[in-house]
Amino acid sequence: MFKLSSLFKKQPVNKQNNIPSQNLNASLQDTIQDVKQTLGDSNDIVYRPFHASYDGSLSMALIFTDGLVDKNVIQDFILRTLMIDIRKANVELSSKENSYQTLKEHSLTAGEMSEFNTVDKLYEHILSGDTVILIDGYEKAFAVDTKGWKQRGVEEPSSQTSVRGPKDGFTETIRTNTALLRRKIKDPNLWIKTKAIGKRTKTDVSIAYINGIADPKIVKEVYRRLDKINTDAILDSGYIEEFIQDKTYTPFPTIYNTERPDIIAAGLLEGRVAILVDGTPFVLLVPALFIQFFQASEDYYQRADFATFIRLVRYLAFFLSLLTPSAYIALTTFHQEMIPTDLLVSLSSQREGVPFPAFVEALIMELTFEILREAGIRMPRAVGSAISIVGALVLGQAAVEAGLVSSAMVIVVSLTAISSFVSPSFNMAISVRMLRFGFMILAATFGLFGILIGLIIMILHLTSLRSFGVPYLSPMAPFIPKDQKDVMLRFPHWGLFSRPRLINQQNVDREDTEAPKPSRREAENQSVKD
Amino acid sequence: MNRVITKIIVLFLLLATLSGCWSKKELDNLAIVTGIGIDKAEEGYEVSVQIINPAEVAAKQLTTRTAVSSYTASGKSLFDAIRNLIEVTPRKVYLSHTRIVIFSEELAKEGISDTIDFLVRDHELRTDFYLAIAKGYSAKQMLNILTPLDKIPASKMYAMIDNSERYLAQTRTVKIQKFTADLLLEGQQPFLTGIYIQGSTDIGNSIENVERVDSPAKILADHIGAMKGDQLIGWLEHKESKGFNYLTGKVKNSTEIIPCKDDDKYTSFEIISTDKKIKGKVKDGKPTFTIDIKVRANVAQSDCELKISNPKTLDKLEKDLNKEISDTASLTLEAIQKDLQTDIVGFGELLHRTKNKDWQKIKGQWDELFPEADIKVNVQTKIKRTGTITDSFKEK
Repeated sequence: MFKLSSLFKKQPVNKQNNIPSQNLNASLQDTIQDVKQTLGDSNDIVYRPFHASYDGSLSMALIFTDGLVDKNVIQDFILRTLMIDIRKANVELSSKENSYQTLKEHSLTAGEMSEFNTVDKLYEHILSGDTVILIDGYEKAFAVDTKGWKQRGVEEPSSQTSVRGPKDGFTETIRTNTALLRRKIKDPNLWIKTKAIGKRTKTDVSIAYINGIADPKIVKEVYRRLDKINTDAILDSGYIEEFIQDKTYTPFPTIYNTERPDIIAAGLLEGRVAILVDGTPFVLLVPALFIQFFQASEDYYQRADFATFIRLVRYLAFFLSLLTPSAYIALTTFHQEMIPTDLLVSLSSQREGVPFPAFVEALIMELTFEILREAGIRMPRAVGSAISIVGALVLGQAAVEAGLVSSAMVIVVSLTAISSFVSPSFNMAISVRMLRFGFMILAATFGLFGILIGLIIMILHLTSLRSFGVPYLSPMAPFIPKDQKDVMLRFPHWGLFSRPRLINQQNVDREDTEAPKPSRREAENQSVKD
Repeated sequence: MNRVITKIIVLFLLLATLSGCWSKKELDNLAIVTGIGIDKAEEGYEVSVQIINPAEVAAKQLTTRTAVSSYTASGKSLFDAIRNLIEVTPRKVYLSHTRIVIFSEELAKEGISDTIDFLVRDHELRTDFYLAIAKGYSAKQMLNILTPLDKIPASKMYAMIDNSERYLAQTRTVKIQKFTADLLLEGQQPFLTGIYIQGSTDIGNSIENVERVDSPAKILADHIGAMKGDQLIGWLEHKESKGFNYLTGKVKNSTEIIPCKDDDKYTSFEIISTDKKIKGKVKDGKPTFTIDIKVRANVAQSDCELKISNPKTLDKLEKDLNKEISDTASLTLEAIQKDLQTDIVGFGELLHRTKNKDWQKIKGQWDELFPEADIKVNVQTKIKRTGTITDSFKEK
């Protein structure tokens, strides 16, 4: 019999093709032969043997990966130096020990350079875009940072847009991303540490936090969880997220992700830890709280009153998109006495002749919409307009006219759909999309009673969640009065003088600006001076 | 672990077969009742219900069918009769949206407490419907009149009773809690709204009634049915009903007219608020009451040759109004003390609340004492505004 649990059982890992960590061969020819063999004679690896010294006695070779390097750098700062400038300067490269030191300290004009002596390092450097300089007769070599490849520029983030506020977004290159953070926070305490994860992809994963603000325990926990990852490939931060999240079997995200540098910067300043992954513009932020998924970066760029209003609308939209179809089902199949008489008459006249029960009707429409939405994301851009025509016709006019669904149901589905787009964070919207169907089933079987039970279970579940040790529902459960100024409401910036508790317990004070209350006299003096 | 997962999956699959959904009812399987009419049958009750035909009320394309249909069935009890409706109605009768319950005068005279029990007990009924007595008609006839403007006659009756209480004070709305409270309170008798038909009931129940500009059959709300216990014992006429509202301080908005000196012209007033205070005491075993009614009024129309701009004229008008209103109130007192001999204002209840010791002594003979009670009415009117003009333009 097939066993379900066998799906999760691990097979012993078959270890092969691992490059042994041995020292470099002193012979240049042998080393090049070895590299060629190991890399399968790949076409994009370039071998460039040459002689450096005046008399041509010092034989050297460059190895680099075409496409990952900036060829101008190699030509101008490595080959030119070693082949031409060195002769003009008439540097003595006779004695072997001497020549290695001279090269290292006086000749190479490249900015970032490192020295290594093992074979596995050799491949790591070649494949990450460095240029390796091998010198005949030495059991060590140089790696010069010549990384330079075609990359996407800094563009406006496509998944989270804003009207007011910074428009830059992370890119696929981790260096650019860290630079974007550095440009926002010029604090020596912004520490960024990088480690490679993935046995084959060797993906650079950087942990960024502000020393002194971030809770050292959380930083340590991030390191601990990252160290535990033992996989061969990390292609996106989503891989990391699944490896390090607190709980797998929950519909709610416990790690925040974004492609907006300003959100990450704000998170770092609150004491959170960012995890940047090379190759993806999506940066992770931990610990993530439930309320964080309702806070858009724009809340802090617009005026406080407006931001508060929009935030309340967002919470309303969360419940609307979660409960509208189920409430409709519950009211029309169990609790007709709760509907005002006129509305009931109108609803029941629409339902005349609709063949399905309200639940099936809702299910059909919701599923149709989910399919449409998925199609909208997945399909080739060129056929984009087709989807909107089909969608509008299927979901709107035609279904009602054909008598398959009632027009009230179309309104319910549209309201749900629109509300689910309000969420500033895509993964919370997905959670709601999934939970909605559960609530619909509950509503169809137990009515409002079922919905209430569902809500209670949902809240119990939410309170049980933690993100890196921080209760997911804080500062609402546990209730922290001091932090309420940035939950439902958004106080003006001079009121947000302390960082959220629980996330960081050290360095709580954020600022000490007084509320702007210019007295009349001050204003007058000012105008006189001007 | 494996077995547990398998069990859970099987349980969930089994759940899908339990499509019972207790008490589930789809909207299109409901017969939404808006009005219930209760008549006396030879044995038990005959109940008529007015059911909405949703497609006629709210659909885009209307046919010539009527917006409501009515069905009648009889049974030994009200519940029995309502269940027997299943025989004639195509769908399950759904009572939650009942706007009005009408008793026939005949039934009301015999007593309605047995039907009230069902109306209070049944969970499906909300308690926000009005109770009324069909004056001179059967409840079935009342429910069979089609009304223009408002397609659902029961809603029309509901709104009409509501508005006539609010703007004319010629009747009173009675919901079921109010009625049962009055029935149970010591020294208080209940009362009910009266409604009746004006015109031909034969045309009234056909679509023809709403095809004419001037409907041949109209439903009116007027009069207050005074009860003793659960039995109707008589009616307060139009003016007496208003007086009853003055006595109970429920005139929210109404009119009063005062004749000029000689000719048949009048000055009209809009009553904008009233306030009443009753004080009662028992002296030598005889109850006496003083009712202070404070009335605020605006001049609405002036046809007399009066200088309204003169404060003295206003003083005189206020005095006239005082007299007019206290006359109206006395008329009502006369009716309930002498003719009907039922304490629907709740004088006894007032004593019960304020002079409990005295009340305990006399409550056994309250029915005999009430008609003899000495009740004084003091009215104090204040004219607040005279409208956008002061003196009539005819003065010039």
